[in-house]
Amino acid sequence: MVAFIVRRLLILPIILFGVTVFVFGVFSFLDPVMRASLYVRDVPKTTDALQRIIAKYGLDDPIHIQYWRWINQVVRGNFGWSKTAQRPVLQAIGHYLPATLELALWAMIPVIFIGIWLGILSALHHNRALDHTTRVFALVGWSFPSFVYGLLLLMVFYAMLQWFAPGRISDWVIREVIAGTFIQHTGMYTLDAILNGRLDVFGDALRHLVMPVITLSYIQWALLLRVTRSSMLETLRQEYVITARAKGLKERVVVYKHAARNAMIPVATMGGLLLIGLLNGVIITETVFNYPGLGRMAATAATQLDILTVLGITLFSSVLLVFGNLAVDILYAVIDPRIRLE
Amino acid sequence: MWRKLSLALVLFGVVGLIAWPQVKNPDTMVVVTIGDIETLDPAWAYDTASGEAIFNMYETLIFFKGASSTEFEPMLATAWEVSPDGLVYTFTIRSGVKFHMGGTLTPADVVYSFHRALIQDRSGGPIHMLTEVLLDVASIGELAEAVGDGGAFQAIQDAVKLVGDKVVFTLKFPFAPFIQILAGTWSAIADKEWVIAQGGWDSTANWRNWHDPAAEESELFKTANGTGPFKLERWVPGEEISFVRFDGYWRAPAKLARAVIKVVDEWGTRLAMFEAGDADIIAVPRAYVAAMDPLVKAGKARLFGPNPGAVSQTGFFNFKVKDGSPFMPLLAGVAKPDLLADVHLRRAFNYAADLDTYIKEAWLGEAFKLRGPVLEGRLGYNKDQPILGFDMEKAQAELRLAWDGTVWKSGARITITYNAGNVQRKFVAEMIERNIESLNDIRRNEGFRIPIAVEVLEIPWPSYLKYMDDSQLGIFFIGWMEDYAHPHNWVHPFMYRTGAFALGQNFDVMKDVAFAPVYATWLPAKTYATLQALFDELVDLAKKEPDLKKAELLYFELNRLAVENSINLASLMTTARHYEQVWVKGWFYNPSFPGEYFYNLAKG
Repeated sequence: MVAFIVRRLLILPIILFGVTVFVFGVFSFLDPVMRASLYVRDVPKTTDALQRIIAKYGLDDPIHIQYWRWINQVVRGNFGWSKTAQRPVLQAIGHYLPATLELALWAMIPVIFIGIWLGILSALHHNRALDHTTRVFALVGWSFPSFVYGLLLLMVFYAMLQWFAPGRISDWVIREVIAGTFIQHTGMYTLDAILNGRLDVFGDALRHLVMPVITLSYIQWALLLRVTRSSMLETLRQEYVITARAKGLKERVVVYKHAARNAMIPVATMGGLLLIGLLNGVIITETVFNYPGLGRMAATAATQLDILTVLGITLFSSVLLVFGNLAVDILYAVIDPRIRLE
Repeated sequence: MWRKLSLALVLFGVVGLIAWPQVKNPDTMVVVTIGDIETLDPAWAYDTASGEAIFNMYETLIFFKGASSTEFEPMLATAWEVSPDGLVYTFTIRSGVKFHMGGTLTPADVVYSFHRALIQDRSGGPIHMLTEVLLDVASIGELAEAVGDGGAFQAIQDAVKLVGDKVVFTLKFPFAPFIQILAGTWSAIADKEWVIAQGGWDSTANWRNWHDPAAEESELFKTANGTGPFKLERWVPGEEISFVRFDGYWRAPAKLARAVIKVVDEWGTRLAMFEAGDADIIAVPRAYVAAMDPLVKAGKARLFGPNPGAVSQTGFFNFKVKDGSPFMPLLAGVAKPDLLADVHLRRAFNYAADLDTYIKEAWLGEAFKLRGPVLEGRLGYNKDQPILGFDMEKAQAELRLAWDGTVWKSGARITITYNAGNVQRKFVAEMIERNIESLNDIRRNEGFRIPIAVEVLEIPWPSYLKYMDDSQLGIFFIGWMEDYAHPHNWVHPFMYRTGAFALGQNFDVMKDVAFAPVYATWLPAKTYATLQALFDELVDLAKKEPDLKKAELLYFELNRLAVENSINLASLMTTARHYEQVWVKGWFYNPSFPGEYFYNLAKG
């Protein structure tokens, strides 16, 4: 297994190189003036403004020279300045990642547990009321645009009832951070609240997470639920399950020990990619709930042609993807001992 | 789609009315808006979001008097004098003023701040306004090319200097709006010793190291130390900036203890924050004002406006589209770069623009027709200047005359462009398209089969900028927001050879232009080599004219020439609305403010 992991990790630099060449190649089709627009918010008020910006940033240099200049800095650990995030690219990713990670991790909990649990229950109650109910639930999750129910949640639970709130944290916590009475260890407020022993901050962070977590995870619950259900139904029809039942094993043992474990292989494939799916899904959620995370930053950078930020985030996503796939492969071996990674 | 969305948002507003909150955080004002701050450096900033933060923390020599954008009152200067020739401005600096970090304001700080701004002069920044009048160049780089680095440095020293305990500005030519430039955030005063301690320009002739930095390279990018009523508490780019009251302020301390500006791009979220009482003031795009109406009617929100803004929305004709442009005009099916150089064609388009419908439908009735480049309320705006109103009979007559009848008989193809996402510009472009193409029925009846085609295209902003910069657009719609309330800031971009729009309009195509003054009757009637030469001479004369009455007549003349030559299309002055919670006190509208001035505000 170690050799397998090392082999996978050795591929990483090649993937990253390919990604950077591809992104740079795409941007090479853009005119220097178009790329200079990142630095111009309004109509340039002097005639030489655009040319000065192009010269300053070398935007009209041949693309391979621009790439060489960038890669030279990258190997020194400098990924450049993110104009959209107003800080160095690495620092920007470091700043926004904890927020997105916190959101995604909280969303993973209901996705995995509710999705799998409801999926198994649906299969066990095939074509009965529970199965029909979860089917409707899943269909609604797929078909209802997340920004619409995100706004509905805001309208009811924030504007009207004021139970939950948008953003990451309340102003009073921010002031504590500024004053140094609340220490940020990880950048994830719920975790930091535990580390600081502050239940009030934990509660406040949770109050801000409820609506985005529901919005973000609903479609993923629905997806996992359906995959689990199908896989479970197929497994329950296998001969070894019938044999287990014929042996007189308890239904609980048949379902959860024999059937569910085998049904989890396709679910594991899904589950490994769910985190990446959640990271992609955060763009809308973060925008609707004014949640300052990586998704919102990526969307802004892409629309403003902020090449350095796009490159930074693409590289980061590539690393995440490679590790995500690796985790899924390892999970296969754990679930099914017949699978040998070597 | 928009109607459904508006309906949903109105419902959103009604739901919010059910449980309206009471005032929260009575000593903290929360503004929820769009648009992120670029920098906190006053010399670098040229956007309103940055300007809003800066003018709450820094101060200028003079400041706008109440709601006026043309009258001023002393701020860091206690008095000023202007020499009879209009070239020398002498300021007496206020004593006993403290900076946030403890320093004391001196006249040397004032001189240093202006020297630093002129030296910095970043690409695309605001300092061109100062270099134009103090050095008679577009940039310090341009001056250095002509006279060397040392010469440029000396010129800066000569332009702004300390004489005794007074600060003296020496202009290259009389320029009335200079005093208005001094009220802008780019003219804010910083603490010399503190800036140097941050790594700023060290007052030596070795100025190149501090010239044209990127935003983040400036030592004042994310820190601030002004004399203003609020101190910087925290700036998290893309999220929020907060300020705390400066208790050592030279005037009475602000009523608010704290102010926060939050960036929330999503409208629905901003509205929800307003309804929950977490936002005291919110930015409301025109498309969503219907969502605010129930709140205003129910007495849950207060509306100021529509207030006349400092922004125009205008179409521009390019008299000669650059070869190779994808928007090349066609005449009788053949490329004709200078198609729009024909005044009859331009007039036809103006007659085909139904401005009343445009204002009513696209601007909800909250815009005004302009009578030339100069904004209403500015010196030189001529309310009696006739404009070409909507008249399809006249549009038809002008089209028949265009290019000696060739357009009418053989057809043409013209492209109108606007930047993607701008619904108002889309509306007016498509309206003109419909109206012009409706004349094809008449032409067909007369046996002319090749249509006069108007194509409307939306272009993403980066591409739009490229095509505009490269003079490739035929007719293009865009907005202009003034830097200072003076007509020069309008006729320069619209008519001067180096103006932001005129540069891409190629007025030089029009040769041997006869001029006979109508308003500025002291000017001789004569023929100019080009239309551009005529515009340039009048713009230069107007900006240097010390006699206000004469200056006004010169601007009248420029407005008249712009209208008679139809250099623009469907030009409007837009308005602004301000929505706030009913517990907000002290707000008033000044079109020259880049945002909320918290010193005037209170809650309760």
